[in-house]
Amino acid sequence: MLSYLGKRLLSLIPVLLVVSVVIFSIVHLTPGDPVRTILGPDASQAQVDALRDSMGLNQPLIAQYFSWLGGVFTGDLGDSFFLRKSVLAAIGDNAVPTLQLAVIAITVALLLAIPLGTLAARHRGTSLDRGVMAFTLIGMAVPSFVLGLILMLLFAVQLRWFPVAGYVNPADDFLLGIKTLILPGIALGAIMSALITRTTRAAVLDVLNADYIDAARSRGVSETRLLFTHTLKNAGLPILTLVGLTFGTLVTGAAVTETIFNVPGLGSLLVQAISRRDYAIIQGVVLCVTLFYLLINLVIDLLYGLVDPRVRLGKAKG
Amino acid sequence: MSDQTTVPNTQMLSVRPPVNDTLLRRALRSPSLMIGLVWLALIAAVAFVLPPVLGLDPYAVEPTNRLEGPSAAHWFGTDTYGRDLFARILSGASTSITVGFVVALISAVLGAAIGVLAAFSPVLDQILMRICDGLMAIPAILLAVALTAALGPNVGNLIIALSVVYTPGLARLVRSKAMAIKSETFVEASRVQGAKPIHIMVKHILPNTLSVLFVQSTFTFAESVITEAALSFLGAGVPAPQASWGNILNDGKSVIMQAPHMVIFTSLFLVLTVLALNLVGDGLRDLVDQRSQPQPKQPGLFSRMFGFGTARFQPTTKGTKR
Amino acid sequence: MTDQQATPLEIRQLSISIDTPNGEIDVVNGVSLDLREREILAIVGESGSGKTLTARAVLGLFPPRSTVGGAILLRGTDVLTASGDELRKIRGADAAMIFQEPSTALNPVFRIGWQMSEGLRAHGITDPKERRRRSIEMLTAVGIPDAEERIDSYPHQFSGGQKQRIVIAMALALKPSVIIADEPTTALDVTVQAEILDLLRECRESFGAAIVLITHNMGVVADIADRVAVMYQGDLVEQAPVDTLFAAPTQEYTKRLLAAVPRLGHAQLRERPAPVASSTAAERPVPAVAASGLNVVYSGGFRQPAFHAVRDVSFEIAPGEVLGLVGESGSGKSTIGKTIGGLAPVASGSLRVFGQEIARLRGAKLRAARRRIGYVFQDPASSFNPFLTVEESIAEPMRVHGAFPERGARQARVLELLDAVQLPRQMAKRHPYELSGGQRQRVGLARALTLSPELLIADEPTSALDVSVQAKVLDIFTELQQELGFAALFISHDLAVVELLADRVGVLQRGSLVEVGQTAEVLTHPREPYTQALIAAVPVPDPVIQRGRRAALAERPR
Repeated sequence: MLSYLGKRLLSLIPVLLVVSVVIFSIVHLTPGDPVRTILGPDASQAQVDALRDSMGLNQPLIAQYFSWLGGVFTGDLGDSFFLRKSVLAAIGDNAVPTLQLAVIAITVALLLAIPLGTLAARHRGTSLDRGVMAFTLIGMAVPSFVLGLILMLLFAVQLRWFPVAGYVNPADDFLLGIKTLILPGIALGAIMSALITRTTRAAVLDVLNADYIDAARSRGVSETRLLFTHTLKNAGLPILTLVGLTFGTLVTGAAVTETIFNVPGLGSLLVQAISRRDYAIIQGVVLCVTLFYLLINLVIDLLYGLVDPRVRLGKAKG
Repeated sequence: MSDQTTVPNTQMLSVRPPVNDTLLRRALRSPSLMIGLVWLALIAAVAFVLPPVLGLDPYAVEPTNRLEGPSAAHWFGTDTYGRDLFARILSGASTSITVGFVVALISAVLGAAIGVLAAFSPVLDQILMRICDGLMAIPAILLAVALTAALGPNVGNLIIALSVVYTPGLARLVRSKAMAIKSETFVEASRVQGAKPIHIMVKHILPNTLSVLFVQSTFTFAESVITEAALSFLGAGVPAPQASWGNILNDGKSVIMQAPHMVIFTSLFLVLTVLALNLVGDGLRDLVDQRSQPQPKQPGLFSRMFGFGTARFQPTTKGTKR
Repeated sequence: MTDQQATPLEIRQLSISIDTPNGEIDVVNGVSLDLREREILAIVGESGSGKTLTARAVLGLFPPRSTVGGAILLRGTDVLTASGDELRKIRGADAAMIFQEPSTALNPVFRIGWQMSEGLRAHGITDPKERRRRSIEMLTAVGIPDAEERIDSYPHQFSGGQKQRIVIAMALALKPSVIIADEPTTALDVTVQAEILDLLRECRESFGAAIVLITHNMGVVADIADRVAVMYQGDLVEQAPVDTLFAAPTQEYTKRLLAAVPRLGHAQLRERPAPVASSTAAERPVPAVAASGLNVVYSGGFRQPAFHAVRDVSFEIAPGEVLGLVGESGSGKSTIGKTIGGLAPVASGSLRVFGQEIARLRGAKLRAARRRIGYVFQDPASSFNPFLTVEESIAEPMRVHGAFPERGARQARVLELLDAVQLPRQMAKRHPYELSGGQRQRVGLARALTLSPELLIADEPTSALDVSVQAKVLDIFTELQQELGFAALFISHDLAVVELLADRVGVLQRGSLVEVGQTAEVLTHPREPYTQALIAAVPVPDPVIQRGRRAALAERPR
């Protein structure tokens, strides 16, 4: 198990290297002078030079990269000139709503997807199955921001069940907080659930077709127990993998959904940063989210060991 | 010598598809593929042909008719500046379809090249796949946003950014398929005949990866349309006066109380187009799957490895209940 | 009641049809069978005979979209009309099943103790301690050592033979009166097969179970069955006591089936001139293959030990000679074939092909050597590119080596080769996946012979085929070998097949060549204990002889 963890951590190093180079290059790819972009066309040459110097832009590119990388390791992601605070502080302030949103979305997605996918697999070929598949097809075609807008139109504008936009931390006022988060949460989760439903269905079907299920059936194990006790653990692996991967989609969706519902999360921070060309923030957000994404997938890899004994013993999977 | 009917061969029974069942005929029978293709053809025709024929101008401003509902003069109503929404949506369609198609094409070609190269050279494999891993570790929209923000928002840069985002996935897919094909017996057979790597690459590996590549490119097309819309919605995609479904939705969002028709019509077009692309992708995948598994059941890997197990006829002996 | 005791299982006019995209197909047509108390009934047949479907039907297991008619009376209850609840009570308690692939019949993510107790739990044994006690008891009964500890292991921690024992233990757990064994030894090596067959006999002796054994292996039938039912394309062709069936089959199909089975020790000695006759040492031609002290090691991956596949092997294949290589799975027989073709690395020692060290050949020289070698692969399904037609597949070696540059000449050669392997010429335009397994394997042979090689490597070319198809392919192989006179390395796990065509035989055990010599010598008077054990383990498809062999084996001191 430990060697497995070590192996996974080692394999992250080249990935992180590429990620850091890509993120670093973003600023340096920018056509024109980033300092001019920051200070605007009216800045004097002295101001520009001073800022260039303080940003370290006069050093060679390699040196800049390493000093930036050093900063990343010590938790210094630079400062935002617009927000007048450090990038890390800005991210910290905005991370909480995004995380809350993500938790709601994943909960919604799993609560919908696992039962639907399992039922569809169990009743393959019936109208229930076709209905579920149609739902997933539509789900995959509706981008989360479109669903967000439609939900807003329906439940906030027309029915007035929920506030149109805004954010209250559920820690301060739980009920109101959930009310503000539920629509964006559903908008995000429903899309995810479409994909997870499909995977669940395929995985459960795969397992239901396996010989060992027939073997258990031939010993008199009931169909319900076959489905929920014997099958779901095997089907868990692909589902778990997908949940890890869709986390990327989740962040992506959050960026857009937050702007729709005016939730002050990382997505909103990023969008504001784009419109202001605040590169330090863009860099920082992309870096932090990517690290978190990799971390989630690492945890999921480790969870494999709990599900599949062959992984636990460090054996190669078939 | 006894002729070949000494003991009739029962291996295949009659389960395999009729021989003269061509790919085209099967495609015509696939409802999802046909519905998807017809809708796509329709929307492409409408987006590229109708505006010049009807003289629709997506940029013509009528400040007096702002945010009007659907009428005879403006089928879908007007937007915040009093521009004809139908013209805007059609113009957005041509942008979306162009961007999606070009991105799918570029990433498919690059992905195929990178994937096949990686499958052949262990050194290149290490380098190329680590780069792909790194790029894939950054969530798609974040990478696209960061790239367009750096390059500047215009359609050309958008295509570059989206291609960077989607090429690694396709390259990985092609590589894994190529690796699988490479370990197939027919490639070994070709090698042991003395075939050169380039022969194996072109004759055996590339054709066998094309089907998955083609299917996945369709899904990439769909994803690019969504991502383009999302980027434009965020203001990091197609820049302002030019129409895109994303920036129309963004305009519509701020006036959702007064003029919900902007959001409704645009969403409808976006969703239906992506749905059609997904239907085409699903249909293509079914076609490809059938072709690669023509036998009722192949002997399992295990029995093949150990040299036992005749190719027994077991028409998916897995039984649910009757 | 006494009547039911006599026949625990009655199948009456069972018919099964499956609704496929290409219409309804009848896979079992009106089969009637009786299984008597403590009887072992073998159902034999080739692919598509419906034997497995018939057997699975006894437990109410059917393929999707199938329609079933007739009746299956299990201790008086009709399985086909039983409700879900009744069916569940019957399964495991009155009838149980043993599967073909022990590795897929066990759920990889649960401990075997848990899986065993699931069956007991389903039949009302609620006390976990009691379930565990009985599971351990059964595991011990089927010969799993240290059952108290091993019960908490996962399936992948057992060997293939042990896994099959566990599957049998699960089937025996509730002491059912009927056991359905679906090809229980097909995935196992012969020595393990012999042990499992002994265990099945013991199931009958100690537990009083009647057994339905599905198999395609006539040797297994002769070894264990009391009565035999022969099926062909969904019909029951013939049923008779085992001695009668083998001695005097009444139906044409049964006769052909039995005739097609190769029998160890029964092959006529091949009437052909000895390939390397009385030439002096100086004139002795260069051997097609000469290995001395050959070692092949597959390097391990991360934290995986390297695998020593071939250890210190020495042999020669003279021009025109057929050397058979036999051994169980993992013995390194295929690796030797691959190494000769330059597909596996030589770790140390020497392997000369046509007098040249194959490991040192590169580029054009390697290509030139490969041009003189033909290769036939085991799996006819995956050895053809699905994008190429039969003609293109057979012509590929010509294109690769620029032989027969004109299109017309290439086409002519392809047709000539199709004639040689006795396939109709129209097949040239077909795709390999449209052909049957046997036809595909003949195309494989044609492709290997395209450039008239001097050496042919055949890696288990018939092990994926039914016996009758195998007989045909072997016939063609022998005929062409005698006509064209190429040397051959014939790799197989089946001693009887090797006996049919090899001049000399080599026996491999875990990478080492334990014995090599003239075919008749090695297979009838083996010197090495391993060869003796291997030959003793192969059941001979003749019940009388096999009975004698088993008796002799039982008397032999261990």
